[in-house]
Amino acid sequence: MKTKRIVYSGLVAALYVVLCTVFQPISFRAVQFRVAEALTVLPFLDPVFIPGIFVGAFISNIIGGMGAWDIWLGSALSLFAAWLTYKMPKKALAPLPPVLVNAFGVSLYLSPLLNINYWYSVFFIGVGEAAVVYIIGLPLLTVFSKYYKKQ
Amino acid sequence: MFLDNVALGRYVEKRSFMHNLDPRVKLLGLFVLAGFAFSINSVFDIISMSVYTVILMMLSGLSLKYYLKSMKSIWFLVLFAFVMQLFSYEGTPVFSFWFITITDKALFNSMVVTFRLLFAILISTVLTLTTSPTSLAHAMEDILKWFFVPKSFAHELSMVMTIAIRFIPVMANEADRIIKAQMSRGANFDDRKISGKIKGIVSIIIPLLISAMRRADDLSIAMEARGYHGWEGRTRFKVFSWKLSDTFFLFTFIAISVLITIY
Repeated sequence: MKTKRIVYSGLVAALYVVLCTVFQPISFRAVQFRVAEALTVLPFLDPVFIPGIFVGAFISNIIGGMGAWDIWLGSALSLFAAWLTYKMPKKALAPLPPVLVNAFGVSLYLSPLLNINYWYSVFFIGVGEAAVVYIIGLPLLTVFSKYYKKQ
Repeated sequence: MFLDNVALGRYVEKRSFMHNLDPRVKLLGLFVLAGFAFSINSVFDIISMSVYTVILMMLSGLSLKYYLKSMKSIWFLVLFAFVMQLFSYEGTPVFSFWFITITDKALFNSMVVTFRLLFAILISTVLTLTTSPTSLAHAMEDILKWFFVPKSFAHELSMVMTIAIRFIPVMANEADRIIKAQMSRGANFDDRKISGKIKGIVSIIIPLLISAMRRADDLSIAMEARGYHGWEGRTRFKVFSWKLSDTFFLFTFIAISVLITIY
């Protein structure tokens, strides 16, 4: 069933990129409301989605990110957050890793890059990410878990 | 509808020095830049990076319009970074109006931050304009192997990326179809209320996700029926070959990074 795992991940990655593109007006801004980040809760259901989230972020950052840092570091942080999400014990905690990892991790390179205060950056990224992951991601997880059978 | 916006078609097929470079070198070059570009903090750094970036753009053989297009999604951030710096430093005032005072130091910092962003975006655009997405996926697999990531995992990631690239237009079409279907059922995506917007987004994501899973089931059966069984014994149609020009390019990338760090 290895093939199935790869394919599931590939399609989630494609979906991540499409959502970034469809909802582009609210993605890629100073306060990012990247709707596609709602998909980062999926590894809680099944770890097969972890590579998909990484690849989706990697491709989206190539298309519309902030260049080299987003492509390498941003995607690596998404991978780490996805793995942490998979490890979360409760559904309500599933959206927490993407919020914390992105807020504190992305700010590590964003704040020296833009020459802005670290905590200022943590706040704005955290708010944008939490809004998407908790308001869209959590209901998505609840509804999708009814349809999904673990691989 | 959304197919036009999916910018992975950004790759422009052409014959140029940049197109002929090994994709692994271009990706590694970006990696090097990611580490060093924080050091851009003087006029000398800005001039040397500008010259280097313009040379790369010229070597890609593509017109300026492709690069300007890539800036479309990021102009707001560049502007934001510029304005943020304008009001955050002490120094000799060069402009003063009511409560707004702009100092020489603030202006200089705004310029540095803006150029840092511009270089990063333009150089990564050179990469995406001159490297096909599939080559990027294979390059990522090779680089991960160099960095001691297990071969099987590196291959899986590359395969995930190849499938994603293949299915982006399909999923974009599907998204378009679902949005139209939901609109015909009375969904209002232009709702100004946040709750309305969220409802709209969820009503698109759920059917898209379920449709993606259905496609995944079919595709995995098709792949296995054609003999796909992971990375073992798998060969590639296109094999990368490292040339002297690749070593030279990587060397120039490292040299410019060291130069801006030292000065």
